[in-house]
Amino acid sequence: MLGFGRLFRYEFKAVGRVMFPLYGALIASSIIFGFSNLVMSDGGAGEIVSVTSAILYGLMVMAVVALTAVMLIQRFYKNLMGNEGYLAFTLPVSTNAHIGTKTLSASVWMLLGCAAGILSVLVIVLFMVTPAELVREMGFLWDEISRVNGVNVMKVLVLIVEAILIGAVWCGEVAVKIYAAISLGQQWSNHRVMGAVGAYIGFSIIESIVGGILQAILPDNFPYSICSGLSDYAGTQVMMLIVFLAELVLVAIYWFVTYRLLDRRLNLQ
Amino acid sequence: MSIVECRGLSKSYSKTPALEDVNLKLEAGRITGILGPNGSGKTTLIKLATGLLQPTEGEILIDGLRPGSLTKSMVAYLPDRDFLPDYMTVEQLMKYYSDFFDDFNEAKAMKMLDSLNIDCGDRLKKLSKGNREKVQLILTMSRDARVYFLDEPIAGVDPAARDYIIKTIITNYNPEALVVICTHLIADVEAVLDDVVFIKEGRVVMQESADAIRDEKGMSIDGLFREVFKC
Repeated sequence: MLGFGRLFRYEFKAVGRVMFPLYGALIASSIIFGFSNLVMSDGGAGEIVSVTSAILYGLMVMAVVALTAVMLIQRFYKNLMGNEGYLAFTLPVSTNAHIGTKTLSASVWMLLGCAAGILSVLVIVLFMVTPAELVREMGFLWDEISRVNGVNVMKVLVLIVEAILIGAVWCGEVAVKIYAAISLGQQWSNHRVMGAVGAYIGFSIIESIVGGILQAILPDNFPYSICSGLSDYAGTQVMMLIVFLAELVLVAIYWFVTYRLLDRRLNLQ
Repeated sequence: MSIVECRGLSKSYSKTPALEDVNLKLEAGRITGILGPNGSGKTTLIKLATGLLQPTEGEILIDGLRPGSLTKSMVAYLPDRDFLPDYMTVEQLMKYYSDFFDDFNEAKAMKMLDSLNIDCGDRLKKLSKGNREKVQLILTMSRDARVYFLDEPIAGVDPAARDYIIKTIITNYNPEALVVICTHLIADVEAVLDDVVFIKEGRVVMQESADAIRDEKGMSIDGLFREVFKC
């Protein structure tokens, strides 16, 4: 556990040195965009500035998304499969600690990226409305939500927390599937990147086939059929649980594949 | 019990054999050279010992244990490449080693770095190739390990740097440890070797003490190497 904690700390810092400045640039671009909207006059230079800053903001959002994906793939590839693997795999930590660190890091950074995105949108919105107006609009939204049968604050909060958890597990699944593909690609001496891409496509095909088989085996209308007779809220809870469990199963499968390949079939160049 | 023991150890990559039926016992408190030409299986043997490869047949034991987390905490490995994250500063790398290896002696590392006028605030990528290799060596040799595996520690550096590296190895290792030096540059290291293992095409062809080679055969190890591995 101690080894896992230390590994994770270094992993977080390694990604953070790239991502935190990028989040800063994202927030800065949202401030510029928000401010330009505020002072924009119809036509002329003001509109050009506003459009330019909107494009800049859009580019920053794309940069955060792209760089998050690139960093997470590159960290696994460079830190474990490249020359740094000669250090990583000779540390006195288990293979599971390496996989766990990278997977947890992927989840955390994907969620942080979403949080940075939400914060940047909030910054832009706060240039357009005052905080008081924003609170009022949120109040109207809450009134609408409360009209749905059986909803209260606790239940909404629980749903939000569950959605974040499912999101986190989904991010982990995406990451560990990529790691399994990279690990499988490493089994060839040449064309390792092609091998990884092929493996990823192969995994997706297998998922589709298994999904098709399950659909044929399981009762019609599953999983909606098991929610009949339940309230909307309870039905939503059941659906979320099924999605959560399905994602966990996929994480377990891809983790196992990655573990077997790294522990038994490691072959650094 | 020997600190490193190979029993019927074999490793093949696909159908290509890299090591075949290696039976070897290496004792603690000795500096052992594993000598052979490029492609003879030296690096494969070290990678099996450090847990970077799994045997196809047989086994290798470090202090009676199969390579794993426990053996990694007592084995110090210097590979034949740049293996440290180059965006980290020398100071950060020392902290990294301290965090993961209980046997890392930071004061010893600092002293060696100071003597080379290496600024600990410098990122590894900013250092010259020679200084980068020295930093890697210093970090490895500042561990108080039971076994050191040094893979081609003097290849690719100038003669003055080679002398420094060899001096660092013999003045800083734990004297109760086993130091294994894999190299094809025999002449530079033979003076420090206690034992010699010749490895040819994946097989151990000779294991002798360095003194026995010099006394009984009346040859330098370099001379014997040239004879055994004549093309």
